[in-house]
Formats: sequence, structure tokens, C-alpha cells
Amino acid sequence: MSPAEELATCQAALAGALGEAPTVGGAAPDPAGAAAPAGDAWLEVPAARWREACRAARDLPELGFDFLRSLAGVDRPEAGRIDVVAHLFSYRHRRALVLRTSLERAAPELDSVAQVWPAADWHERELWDLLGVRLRGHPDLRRLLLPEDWPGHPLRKDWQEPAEYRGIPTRREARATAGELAKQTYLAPRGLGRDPAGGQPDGGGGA
Amino acid sequence: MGALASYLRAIGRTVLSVGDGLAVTFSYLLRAPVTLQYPDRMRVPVIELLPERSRGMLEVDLDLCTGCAACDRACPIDCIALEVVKHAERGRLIQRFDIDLGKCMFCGLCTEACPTGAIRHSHEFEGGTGDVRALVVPFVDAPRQPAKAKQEPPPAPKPLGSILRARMPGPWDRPRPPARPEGGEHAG
Amino acid sequence: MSPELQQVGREEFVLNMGPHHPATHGVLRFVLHTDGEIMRRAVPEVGYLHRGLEKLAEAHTYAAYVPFTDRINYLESMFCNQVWSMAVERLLGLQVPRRAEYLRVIACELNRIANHCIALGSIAMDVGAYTPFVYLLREREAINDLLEALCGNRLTYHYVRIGGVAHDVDEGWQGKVRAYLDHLEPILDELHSLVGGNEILVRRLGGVAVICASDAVGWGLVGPNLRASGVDWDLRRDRPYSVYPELSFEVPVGRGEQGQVGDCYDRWTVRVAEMRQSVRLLRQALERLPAGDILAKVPRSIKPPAGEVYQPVEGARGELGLYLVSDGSPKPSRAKWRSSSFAALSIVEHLSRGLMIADLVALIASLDPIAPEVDR
Ligand code: SF4
Ligand code: SF4
Repeated sequence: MSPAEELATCQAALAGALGEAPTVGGAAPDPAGAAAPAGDAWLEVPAARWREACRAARDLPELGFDFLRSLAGVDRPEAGRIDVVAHLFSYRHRRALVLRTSLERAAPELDSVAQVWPAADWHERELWDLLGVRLRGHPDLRRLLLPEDWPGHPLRKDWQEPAEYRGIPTRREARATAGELAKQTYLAPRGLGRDPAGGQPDGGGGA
Repeated sequence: MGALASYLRAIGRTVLSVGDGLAVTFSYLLRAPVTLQYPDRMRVPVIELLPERSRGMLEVDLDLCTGCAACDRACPIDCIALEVVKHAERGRLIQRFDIDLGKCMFCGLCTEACPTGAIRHSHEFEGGTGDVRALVVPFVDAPRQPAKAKQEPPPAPKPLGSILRARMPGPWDRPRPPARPEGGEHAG
Repeated sequence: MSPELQQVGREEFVLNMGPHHPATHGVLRFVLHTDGEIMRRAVPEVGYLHRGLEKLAEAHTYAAYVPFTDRINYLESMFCNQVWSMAVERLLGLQVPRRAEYLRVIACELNRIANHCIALGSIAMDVGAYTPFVYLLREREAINDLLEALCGNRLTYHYVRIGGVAHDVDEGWQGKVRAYLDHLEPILDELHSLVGGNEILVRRLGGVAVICASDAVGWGLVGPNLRASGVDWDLRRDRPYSVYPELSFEVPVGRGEQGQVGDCYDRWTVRVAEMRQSVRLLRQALERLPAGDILAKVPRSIKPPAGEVYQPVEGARGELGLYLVSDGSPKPSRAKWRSSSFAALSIVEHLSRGLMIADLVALIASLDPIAPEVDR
């Protein structure tokens, strides 16, 4: 089957399950199958039907997407949306599908699909951690990678790195100018380097 | 009874398979050792064993550098601080060329971007220090004129690493301990 | 019995394993809730190595991000380089010269052997055998030397570039690889007699922490971990990319030799078998290496058209995926890494119920997770 036919099959099957057809987006494959288009096409479902659509994608025999490859969030501030993109794969049919939904950026909330694919558990925690999407019904929605008290969600485009976290600077001190440093270290007489007699250069370990 | 028999069989298998493994281990007594005792007992310094493409610490040959800043632009993490100023009488001057080797990830993008080969990877790698700032290596002492893109005749290439060694303190300043002769302490 | 003694054993004991622990493969922590030696659950706490590599991608151009991909997983940097390059090439519609494709295969398969050396060595070490680890590191050292001669660095290769590879190889280098393969094959047999058949290793791994096929698929395990559970799947064969369709190799699958399909011992044997297949692939690739360019004509500033791709490759730990979104500017707008270790660690809590602490160590080692790849 060509990618276009595969996508059409998936679309029809999901339409049957949801009662409304998901929209095709992205580099929609050319029905004639002529030139392979750059990039992937996807099926977009309304956020309210997300869990239903995911369950159908896993359970319908003609879909059978048993492997959740990745679940990613994409921040699109210019549109005021956060997209959630699931990359699915079916070992039975040897076929991939991109399923997508779009959320309000101001208060992104989505039904968790951790009950559909256990693999979604950590991906959703990451989604909450890095993009601030609240997953309804997630068994254990804690931050995954960052500390619990980290300010904000860094993969948002407008996130600003704080200057310090609990008193620890997040950046290395500004580079001293070559002149200042030259006085301290480099042009110091040879032997003040690292050899045992000379000890560390200035400012090294102190006394 | 059956349990005891299988228990005894397991012990038997264990002894046999451990013997199997020990046979391999003992065979290493008869093979040449592969371990080398770094750094003191190497017969040849490691630096001479490195392949030609090895990407060690960076150095800049100011006799070649045109101050074009291609390296500065190519570096993904801003380790290169290059300042070129316009002087009323002397024209363009390279005022500063520092490389922060503490930040550098030795990716080689800067050397690939350089049109003259002025910035290059030496094979030096032993840059450990107690002060991270000591890894910012300045290559310009006083403002100097950049080189011309095409020089006739081209200046003689400097030995790899010599520029860097002159610019930062390092283990190269220490006298090397004499290498142990072969067959000294077992190195395997 | 005194009242105090009656209380003993009623409580859950919480134990931290890590962040610095010889059996945790990088900086990660497990919170063990135990009842004596038996685990109620082990909760992995990750994030200690989060470097924001996905955020960093938004700030760098496509070509300048390649060295960052080296840091995703320092044991299989070649695959990270490759998946990034392949994703950008697909967005650009770029055709990679055949010689470059072959060189990628050669470099990647060498990297796979090196990675499995570490994986097998640490499995053996974590169940108490130190010697195999040292022997395997020695083999890996030879690969490090080969790859250093090829691309200039021992771990962070920065070799596969967008549109091809960075350096060409000469006859001398190919000869060295062949000589190494000749040397490696008997070592793999030796590995089997040294450890593979060892009763202690068999008892520590056989039948321990069995992952059934449906769990493996559901939790998103990939690569050797998935195949050990009996799922016959390899992207190189089933979703062919690069020049793998031209090369012949087999896909080893767990058979439950010393217990059940999907136990720790299967994860060990699958990796050993994969090393042999890599040797086979390397010999063929060296044999057929065509002449030609090693780098396609890549535009000076890479600006892929707006669009998005999900690009998987079969890395040493299985499917390494990259979801890359371009908005038409010179910098990517979103990059998401889907790594094998991420899935492998997320299943640990599920599997840990009722396991002994010592078996947990075997389980973690056999899943071969690597912390920087989880945290990115
Ligand atoms: S090697 Fe890479 S990181 Fe280091 S200065 Fe050059 S471009 Fe920057
Ligand atoms: S080192 Fe090379 S790239 Fe950098 S400014 Fe000098 S000539 Fe230009």
C-alpha cells in the first residue's frame, strides 16, 4: 500500500469509530503516489476525542497500532496553540501513523492515554514537565526531568532561563577579559603552572 | 532425591563452567599484555600515538589568520572570542583572539570553516587544571595586523602544538620521567 | 516475642540506589520500596543529566547541532549523528552518495559492537563477574582507536554529517578494520566459554525478570530488548534505510535458552548474536564499498522547507527516533528525541514488583539503559 492509501485507510477506520473524520494535515501524500513529499502527513482529531481516538487506533483490528513510538508537544505561540503529536506504529500491519491534536496554549489540558499505551506514562510526564500540558487522569503526574520547583516549562518558546536556581547560578561567570586573565595566569612565569612546586595558578584552589 | 540430584548436577556444572572460564583467563598469562601504564611508563608518549585526524586542543597561528571571523561564526557554543578593530593609522587590527578550551567540545566546525588553516586542532589533550579560567587561552598579546589571505611565499608551517604549548602552562612544562624499559614491571 | 520484635517486618523499607551507584549506568536514582530482600516497587528518578538538548536545538542551525547529537548518547553517538542527518536530508530531499551510505554503515556497525561490548561487560559485572568487563573494554578500546583514526575523536565522533560523512577512508584503515574483525571473532567465542555458559551467570540471568512480548511492545521497548522478548523486528531489515537492503544479515531473537523467552539471559544472548551479525555486515560493507563522493552538494545555509518528519534508525539499543519540525528558518523549531533507554527505564517500575534487589540489578543491566539518553 502506498502512504496515501494507508493514510486513507486509517482515516476511514477512525472516522467509523469516532463518528467524524479526522482531518489530514501536513505534507499530504499525493494520491497518485508520484513524488514522495517531504515530511510526514498526519491525522488530526479534536482534543476532546483524543483518548477515544487513541483507543480506537490501538484496538480496531484494521489499525492495531500497538507501539507508541513517541509523544511530543510542539509549542506554536503565534497560533496560540500547543500541538500534541503521537507517533504510532503497528507491528502487525507494519505501518506508521501520526496522530495529532491541538490545545489552547493558555490552559492546555488533555486526557491521558497512559491506560492505552503504558509507554505514554513517561512521555506524558515529560509533556507536563517541559511544555506544561496537564494530563487528566494520569496516574502519577510529576515532573520527570526537572526538579519539582523549577520555574516554568522550558520547551515553551517564551520561556526565559532564570539567572539562578536556589542560589546556584545557571550560567558560568562572564568571561574575564584576556588582559585581566593574562595578569593572573598565562603570562605568569613558567613554573607557576601545575607542577607540584608551583601549586595551582591564581584563584585555583586557594590556600 | 530428584532435588538432591539436580542440586549436585548444578554444582558439577558450576565447577565445569568456572573451569572453562578460568582456562580462558589462564591463557592470558601466555599472551602479550595490552595495558600500558599511562602516563609515566609509556615507551612512546601517547601524543605520538594519536592518529593524524585526532582533534585535540585548538591553537591559532596568527601568521596565517586573516581575522575573517569565520571560525567565530561557525562555533556553536561561542568559545572563540575574536575582536577586530579599525585603527586610524594601522587599519584593521586583531585585538583579541581567545579560545575557551574549557567550553570547547572539540567538534572541529571552526577548523573546517577557516579558509587559511590558521586555526587547527593540535594533538595536545592533557589540559587538566585546577582553575577553569586557565583554559581560556589568548593568542594575541598586543593588537596586530591580520595576515593577507594569500601570502607569497607562504610562511613555514609551525609544528603542531607548539603554539599552544607556548601559550598555556601544562604537563609539557614538566620533565618527563624516564620510561621504564620493556619487561620491567608487568603491565598486563 | 517482645512487642518491638513483632513490629519488625511490618514496615516498608525505603532505600535509595544511586544517583552514584556502580550498578546504575550513569547518574540515575532508584527509590526502592522493599520488604526485606523483596521489592514492592522500584521507582526510577531521572533527570540528573538533563542538559536541555531539545531546547538547545532551537537555538542552533541544523549543521551546528550535529556535534550536540553526539552528547545524546555517548555510547552510540554515530547513530545519533546519523538519525539527525537523515531527518534533515529527508526534509531537504537530499540524496546521499552511495559511498557515504556505506561508510555510515561501517561506522555505525563498529559503534554497535563497541556499545554491545559495554552492555555485555556491565551485565557480567553487575552480576558479579569483573573480568569479562575488562576483556570487553579492551576490545572496545580497539574500536575506539579505529574510529579515532577515522573521525578524530574517540566517543563524540561528529562523523556523519548532513548529506554524507566527514572523512574518507583509505586502504590502510580498511585493512585495520578487517584485521580487527579477524581478531574479534574468536574473542566472541571466547566470551561464550568465559561467561555465556557459566553456571553462575546463567542462574543469575536465566528466567529472571521476564518481559512478555505484549509488555515489551506496550511499554515501547525496542531493539535487543524487544527481540529478546521474541518479537522478530529490526528496522534495518523491516523498514530498510541506507544500504542495508543490499547486505545480508540475520536478526537474532530470544529463544528462552536458559529459562523463558524475554528473560535477562535472552537479552544477553541477543546482544552477543548481534555482534556476530555486525561483524558479518562489516565484512560485506568493506567488500562492496563503492568509489565516489562522500558528501552530497549541501547548500551553504541549510534551510529545509516547513514540514516535519519522524525519522527512526536501528541504533545499538534499538529504535532511536527523532521528531523534527522545521518552520523554514535556518534553525529547527522543535526536535524531540525518542530514545530506547527512556522506554527501558519506564518499564522498570512495572517489572520490579516482587523482584529481589539483586535481580533488579540484573534487570537494569540487561535492559542496558544509559542515563544521558533518558534525560537528554
Ligand atoms: S572545536 Fe567546536 S566547540 Fe571548539 S572552538 Fe571549534 S567550533 Fe567551537
Ligand atoms: S582563524 Fe581562520 S577562520 Fe578564524 S579568523 Fe582567522 S582566518 Fe578566519
